[in-house]
Amino acid sequence: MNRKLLSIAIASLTLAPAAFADVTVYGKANISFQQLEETYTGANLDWTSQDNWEMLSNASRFGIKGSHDISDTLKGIYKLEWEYDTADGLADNDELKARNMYAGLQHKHLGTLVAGKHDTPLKLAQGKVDQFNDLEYGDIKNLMVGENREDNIVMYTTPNFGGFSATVAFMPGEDAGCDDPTNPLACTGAGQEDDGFADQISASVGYTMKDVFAVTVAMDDNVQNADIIRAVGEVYLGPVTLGVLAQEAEVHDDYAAAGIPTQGLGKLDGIAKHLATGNGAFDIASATGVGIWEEQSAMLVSAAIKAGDFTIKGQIGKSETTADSRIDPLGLADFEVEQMAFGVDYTLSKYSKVYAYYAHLEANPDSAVTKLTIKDDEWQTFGVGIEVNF
Amino acid sequence: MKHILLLSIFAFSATFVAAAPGDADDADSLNFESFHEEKEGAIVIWDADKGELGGFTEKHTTVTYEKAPAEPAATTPAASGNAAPAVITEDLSPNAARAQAIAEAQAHERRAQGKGYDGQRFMIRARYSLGNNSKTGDSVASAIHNLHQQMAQHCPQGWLNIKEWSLPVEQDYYLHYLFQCASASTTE
Repeated sequence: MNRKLLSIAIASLTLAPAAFADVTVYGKANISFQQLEETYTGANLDWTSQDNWEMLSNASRFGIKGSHDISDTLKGIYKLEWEYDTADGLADNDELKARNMYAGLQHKHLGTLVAGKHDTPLKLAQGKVDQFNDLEYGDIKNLMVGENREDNIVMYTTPNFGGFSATVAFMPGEDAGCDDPTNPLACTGAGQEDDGFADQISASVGYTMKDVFAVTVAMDDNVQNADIIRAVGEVYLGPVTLGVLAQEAEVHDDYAAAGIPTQGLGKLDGIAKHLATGNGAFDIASATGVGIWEEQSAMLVSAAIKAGDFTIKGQIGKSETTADSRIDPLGLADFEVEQMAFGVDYTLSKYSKVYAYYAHLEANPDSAVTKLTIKDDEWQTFGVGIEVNF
Repeated sequence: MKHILLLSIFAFSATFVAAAPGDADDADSLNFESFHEEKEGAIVIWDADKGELGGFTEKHTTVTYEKAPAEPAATTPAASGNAAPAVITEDLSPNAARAQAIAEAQAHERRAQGKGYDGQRFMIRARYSLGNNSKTGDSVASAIHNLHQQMAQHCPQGWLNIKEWSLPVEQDYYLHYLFQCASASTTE
């Protein structure tokens, strides 16, 4: 009887083949318990705005992916991925937050073409240089611009040609592009200029010699209003991995000229605002009217050493951001950010690890005038966590 | 009926107990080929190749396809006793190289353990045509003949054909076999 039931049960799970493309689930849960501290140091007053323990979900995610053979060499592919909050059940106040998702075609000899929402090639050029990716105050998005996931992206990646590969992506700006003689102001200026086919472009080209080194150069043009050049290198010396990332960024010309308030600073927006309003004694933005960054230089160096099941890792980075000199000729709103992080991972199995790390982030105004009232703004954290992949 | 439903749900959910490797890190890269490869132990909700709901990518099944019908076998398993049969991978799938690597690793391990291919599972396929407008002139019969030649190569001691199915490709079809090599004790 049991055999019959089992046969029927199995049969009930077997449907007509090829009705759909494959559906495979994957993801990871990464949760940590962290001591978080945020302090401002003013000329006459120190201020602690946070000093507590929190449980954090670090970009925990799940996704589904699949493919379907169209011919011997061509297949349709898709991926849908969402972030969820393992600690609070929420991610950015939503139940789920969209991550990379696309539909596309993959040809064995011609490469892969996808369209949807995706990290830019410049962002992904970082490879594994960011040893504290997704971790609070450790992620390089705290240090530099360019860590963007873009909507409406069309992306093409070449096959691997003996270690070489390249990716180019473009995004329509989707501004309305209206033409209304009765209300010309509504159809001109910022927010109406990017109405073309490929207003924003991101691209990367890289070469990898397996187990020896990898180099990538990437660029953004008008992505989140920024033009960026990024160079990344990784060297693998047995159990040691060394990484370096350097980049130069500037606000895209259209927006710099238009005088739009700060845009495209990404995670640094928060740091800039903190710095500007810091201890409440001096508000750079209010005092100067400056809300625009103009240029940023950033650099990161990292290292990881594997020793058995342990991986010891660390990284240091620095960025310098200048305000628009046409509005802030004295550079009152210029600031620099320094990051330092180190930690250790312990591999439990192929699918899970536990880790501990410390990260320190410090933002300082560059201007001697501003330093009279704001010394620095510091964030630091110590955390222990676990990551389980599936 | 309720029992059947419960059993179905159990059979489906039970496949999610074991751990599987993660694609999560692979997803955050520009290596789309690697990401869309079928990985061992992946949680497969719907397997289009097999037409099945639920399960994992089988860890001990080697996916290997014939290169060309006329191509001679690389080894003669019947003559080589317990030696691992050569895995002939076709140039049609991005999984082919990986499958070959897996098969070779398994073969190496089994040889090191003094084992043959007893109990090893393989998935093979051959293309055939039902009409005139096709890229192959192979009939169903020649496809079956091909597949049986391969099974004989892989399993000199005989085999159990677990499942067969066909999938359309362009104007033709792929005939797939999932089979398991018999052990020496089974055939004695």
